[in-house]
Amino acid sequence: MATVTLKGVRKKYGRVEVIPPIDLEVPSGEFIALVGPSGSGKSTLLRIIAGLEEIDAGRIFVDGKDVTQTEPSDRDMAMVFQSYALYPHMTVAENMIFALRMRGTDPTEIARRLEAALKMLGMSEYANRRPGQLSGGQRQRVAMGRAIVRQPQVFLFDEPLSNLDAKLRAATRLELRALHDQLGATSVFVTHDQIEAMTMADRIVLLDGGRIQQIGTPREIYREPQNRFVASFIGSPEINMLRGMLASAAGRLTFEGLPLSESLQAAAGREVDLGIRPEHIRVWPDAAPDRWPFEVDAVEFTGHDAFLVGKTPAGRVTLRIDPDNDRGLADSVVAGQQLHVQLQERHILLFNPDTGVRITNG
Amino acid sequence: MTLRRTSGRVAANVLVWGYAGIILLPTLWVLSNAFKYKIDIITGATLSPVTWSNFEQLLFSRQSQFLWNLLNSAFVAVSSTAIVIVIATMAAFTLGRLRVPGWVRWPILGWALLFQMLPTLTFVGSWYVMWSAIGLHGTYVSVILTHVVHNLPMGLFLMLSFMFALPHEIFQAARMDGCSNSQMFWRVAFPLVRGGMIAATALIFIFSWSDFAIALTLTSPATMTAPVAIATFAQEYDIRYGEMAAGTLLSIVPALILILVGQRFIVRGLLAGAVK
Repeated sequence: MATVTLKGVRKKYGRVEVIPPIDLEVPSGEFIALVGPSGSGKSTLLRIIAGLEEIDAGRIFVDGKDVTQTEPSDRDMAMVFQSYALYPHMTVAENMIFALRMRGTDPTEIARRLEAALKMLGMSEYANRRPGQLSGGQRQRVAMGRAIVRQPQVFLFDEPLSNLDAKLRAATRLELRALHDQLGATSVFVTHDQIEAMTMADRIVLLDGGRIQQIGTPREIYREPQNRFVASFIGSPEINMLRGMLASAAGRLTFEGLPLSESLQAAAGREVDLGIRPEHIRVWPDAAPDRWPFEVDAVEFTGHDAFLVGKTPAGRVTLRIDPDNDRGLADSVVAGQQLHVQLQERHILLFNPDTGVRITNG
Repeated sequence: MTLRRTSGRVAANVLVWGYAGIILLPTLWVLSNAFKYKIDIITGATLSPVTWSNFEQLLFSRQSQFLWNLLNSAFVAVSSTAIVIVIATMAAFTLGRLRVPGWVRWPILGWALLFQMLPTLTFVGSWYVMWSAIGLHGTYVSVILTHVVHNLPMGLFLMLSFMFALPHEIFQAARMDGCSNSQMFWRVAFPLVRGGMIAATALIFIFSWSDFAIALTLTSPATMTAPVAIATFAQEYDIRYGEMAAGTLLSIVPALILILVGQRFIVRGLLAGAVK
């Protein structure tokens, strides 16, 4: 268990600044996910914490101890690589105990830890196989085992699930989180998959262009995004972003002809980006003053959900309907049909169209 | 299968077999000469009585030292190849996998490439003068070291390609596991490029074994290698075709064995399962 602290950490490749000065604190025992699109610097940041990348400025602390100049192996961290990076010429057992051997750990202690880790991962019968003789999921377990036997203070995961098929990934997600809870170590997990981040992490650090866009619990990030990038990145299908005037006439607030309540008064009289998630739009067969006409372009049926994509006066939107609860709409709706939609006002998010920063009432 | 694909395949086959023919037919002709009497060789007879006399002359005649020449060849090729492979593997690891500043890495690789491009014959004169000046001309040391210098660029590039084929993350994992640079080499890189080293060894050995220009310039009768010895059968008044052919046949054998052994070692087989 250890707290990892980054203070003013900065990284450049030549003239390109990939990580502008960044501050981050990962409290002891927390499972934190670094999320962002490719090129956002999340893997670089992880490798900086590991000590595999040198930094141009700033300091890194583990439990208050400055480890900026410490060798990767002396930081008491273990890393699971995206490609697993197993040693192909060693058996599963040799792979797992390599670090302990290098450290000169007592052989009986090595044997004890190896046995415990193999058992924990259900890999006991594969101890003498080579990585080449294992399936992708088994190799992933070996990579995990290699980290576990070291009993590190900090686990670093670099997209460890991205090479698994969808089914195995979902199962491994749960296992990995359970493992974290069981070991109680601090974990930093890099992923570009928002579902992984949302389901596993205590807190999410959302990165773009090396900058932290928001840090928060999955719920905060989803419900209270601080800017347009965060709102768009998290959520699938993506949040609907509609640009238009929030007009105020005769004490009534409207957005592209749609009356809105006073709660959005703060942004009255200016152009805004209005964000609304697909599940917060209700669809009706009949017109009403607080509804937009909606022409269906496409219907996407995924089993537990159905999504309608279509046009409103303010732009194109995607909305979700619940097939179990929609009065048969999901089965009857066809492309080209005319419907009406209503936005659930309390879920509307407004953003400054120039800066992308969220506009709040407070 | 479309007509276009069929004709493409026929053309490819003709090309490959044609190329094989250009190489194999003269070789076969030379090798067949090893079993012919001189008169049959000179008259160009295709079918002729078989004789072992060329081999007897070559190996057991008082005038011929061919067995000794073969031993010289073996000694020079084995020593120089061993030195090249050791240096090339370590250098490839250092240049390819460790943090070496660009101003060190690129001049070395650039010079190696340039050196590889220039014909050997441009250097032999200088080498002759240098070795003579320090009194080492005609010794094993001079031939072996010159072969090392000559073949090192090739060895370096071969080993670099094998070293680059190893995934970067393996070395990062090794660093996380607490390996120093030398441990990273011996425990991770070396076992994984062993297949590549064998392939490179086979190639470098063949280059050294078949070298003519350097050996001709730097050897004395005592250190003469097989290719030079074969050339001495062509004299002013007498060209001993039969012995030349027999000598060629004998000197091909070690190279052939090495190719057959080295072929099996392809680094990918060993690497399966490293990543993904």
